[in-house]
Amino acid sequence: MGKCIVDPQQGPRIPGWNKYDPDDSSTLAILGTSTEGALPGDHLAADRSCAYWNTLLPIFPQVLYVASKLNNVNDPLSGRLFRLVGIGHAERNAIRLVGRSFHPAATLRIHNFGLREYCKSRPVLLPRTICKLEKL
Amino acid sequence: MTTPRNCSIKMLSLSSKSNNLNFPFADITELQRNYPVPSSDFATAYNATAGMWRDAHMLCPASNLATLRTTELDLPVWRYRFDHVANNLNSRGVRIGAFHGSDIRFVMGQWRTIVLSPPFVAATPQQVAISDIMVTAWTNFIKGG
Repeated sequence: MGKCIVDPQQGPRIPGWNKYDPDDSSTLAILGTSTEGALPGDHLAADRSCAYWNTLLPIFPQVLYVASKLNNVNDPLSGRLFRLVGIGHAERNAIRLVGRSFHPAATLRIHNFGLREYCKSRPVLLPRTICKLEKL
Repeated sequence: MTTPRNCSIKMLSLSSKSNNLNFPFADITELQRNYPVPSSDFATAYNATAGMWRDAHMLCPASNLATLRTTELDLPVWRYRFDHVANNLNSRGVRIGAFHGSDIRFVMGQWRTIVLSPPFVAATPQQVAISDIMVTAWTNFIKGG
């Protein structure tokens, strides 16, 4: 009979290192600077740039699901070339752009999946944020 | 003729090109605001660009994952940032700060291997102590309560 973690809810234990709470900035532990344990203090400042990067991250990776859709020969968008023109939020069938555009030369080849599938293929980080594609 | 294998190779190629990374889409004003040079966080442009890559590809995905697992899934998360900077961990010295992967030899208790790679300087007593703390925390996690 294999052994297992007795109580995974307890987590790793270093003095001062508590379970992460996004509303408690001291629960992002800083390790490697103290020989006593986790460095106390407000550490969520390290995440401050994420407000910006999270406007970009949902459109990446741009090609992750292509290989898994190669057999979908009936997709009308197969092989088409599109320009990525912005990101926005899905509201039923509409797309509300956030209000900025991207580099006009940036293009994305969509091989075997449609816009809906493409946008559904990136729900992990920000499920409601999707891309808008413009046919070239 | 396009085959699945050819397409996979093509996709691999596209993924490695810059137009599939963040920077062609970047907002210069926002980048300068988040990564000012020189500053206490980013002494040089080298540090700032390294910080951009770190945040876009490592820090923010980790932050998002930890936050969403906590708030949306109500799952326990213990999150840490490894900030140990030392001149014996790589051949470029302290000017590159704490770099990707530098925590591995500590959390795995492999501080004895530090002397085996450039600049070939052995781990300090402080580094051994830091490693001991991390190894203890991880093994306590596995052993349970």
